[in-house]
Amino acid sequence: MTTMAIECQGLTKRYGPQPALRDVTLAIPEGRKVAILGPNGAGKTTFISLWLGLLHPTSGTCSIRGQSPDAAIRQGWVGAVLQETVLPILVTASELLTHVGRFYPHRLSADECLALAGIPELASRRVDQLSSGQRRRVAFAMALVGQPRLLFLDEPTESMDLDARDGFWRQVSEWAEEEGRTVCFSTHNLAEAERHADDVAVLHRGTLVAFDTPERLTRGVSVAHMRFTAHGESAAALQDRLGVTIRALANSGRFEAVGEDLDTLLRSVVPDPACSEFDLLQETLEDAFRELVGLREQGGTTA
Amino acid sequence: MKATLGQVTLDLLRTVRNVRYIIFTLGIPVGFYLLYGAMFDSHHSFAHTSWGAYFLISMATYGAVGTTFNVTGTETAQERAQGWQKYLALTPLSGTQYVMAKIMTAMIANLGVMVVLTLVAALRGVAIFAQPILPAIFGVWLGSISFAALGLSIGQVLDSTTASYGVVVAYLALGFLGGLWTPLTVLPAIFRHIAAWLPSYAAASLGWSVLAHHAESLRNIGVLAGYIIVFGGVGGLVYARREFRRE
Repeated sequence: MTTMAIECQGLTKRYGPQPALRDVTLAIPEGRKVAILGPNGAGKTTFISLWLGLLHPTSGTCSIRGQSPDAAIRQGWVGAVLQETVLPILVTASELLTHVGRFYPHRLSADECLALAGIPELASRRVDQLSSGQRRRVAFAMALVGQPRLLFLDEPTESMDLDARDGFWRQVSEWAEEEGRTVCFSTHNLAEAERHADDVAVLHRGTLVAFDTPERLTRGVSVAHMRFTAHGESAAALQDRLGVTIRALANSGRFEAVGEDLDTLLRSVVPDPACSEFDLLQETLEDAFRELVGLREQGGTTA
Repeated sequence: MKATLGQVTLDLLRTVRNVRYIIFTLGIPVGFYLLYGAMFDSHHSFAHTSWGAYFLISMATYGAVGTTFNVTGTETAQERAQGWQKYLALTPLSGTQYVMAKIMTAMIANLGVMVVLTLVAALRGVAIFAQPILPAIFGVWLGSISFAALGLSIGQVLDSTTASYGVVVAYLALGFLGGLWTPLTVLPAIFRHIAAWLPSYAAASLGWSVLAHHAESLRNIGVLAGYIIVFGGVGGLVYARREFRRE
């Protein structure tokens, strides 16, 4: 039987009468990389805080490897990089990791952590003199020091440039795969979720609207796009003539047709002599996300 | 225990590197000792001991108030505001261990301040071993646990900005009203009545009594115990309610 890294049953959290998280049930097997995706105010932080035992559920349960979040944390199973941690001043990265390591039963040395986090050169630098991106890497090293089974990252790559981002994810993946560790990260960057997560949990208005692999979420999308050029035309005129939704793009003469299925789009647009230079667009997680969230906007506001 | 020591050693490392902090907690009592200590000759007889020894106890107490308040008051309030306590909530270090670590850090730092002051006194000609100075200092050191209870309350009840003001006000008040700056015998009677209720006076009195070869007053011990129980309780309760949690 696979061990579940995280299991939630009917997890609900209310602040006053308004539920911030409503009846969420999900199970994440060990060894997965899971993205928690959702617009601001969707309940991501509440969801994650409940896992980490920083908040207590109004109803429902949440467990980490079969134990309460508090018990899991006491055993050093959890490593986390939160958004707002201010690192202590007047110590070097290496000193900080050595001392923080003493909190954990199975710790790594400071040098091992710094190597894992890809920042061995910061060992003797004072943490208060680092850039925000570097401090974030030190916080990441701190999350690894106790050799956690479950790593939680809150918007981990926000202050990183693209190169740093790729390097960071390579390190996380190698580290996680080595011993089948679980990684959960929250993000509002869809491309990041698509590229680096095995599973994506989509939250909207406190409800879990989808939990699946990025591929399956994308495949379920019922939106198709194609782009084409039609000089001297307007979107409104094209839409009337072709009978499908047309958006004008920033490039003059360039348009995008949007429809529910690709066949209909192609049959309507391609035969028109004014249209040329066709381009088909792949469905993305962004489309899936828009659709999932959009459906909720239209129909799901009653409960 | 190992986890607690991790926090203690981290805090001590940061403490000895913090220049502003060292000026505040060590510079002030040492400066006062050199300045006010020079009012009389060190060997001048005072309160059944010498002025140099008497005022050493005053400043050792005062130094302990500053150090303890900084660690248990200002720092805990700041670390709560900056999210460090929330980070700790995600490590195996428990809330109780965190508080114990702060108290231990303060007590070790207090010892450091007292050693430096004793050396300064020795340099000013106070015979350290000819009188029971070390047992007297030890008494003050034990009494300084009461400052930790008070500091913890300030740090937990107030937010980080008001806590740093609260700490300064309490530091000055305990110094002056506790008879640490000026011996109470030269102040109007009203100050003796106030001082009798203050932990700074009670802790210093433990040391002064040893120097004067007087029996310890139960009243002073009672005052110290009272502060430890009441303020330790208040600080502990407020802390437990927060216990790193945002709720």
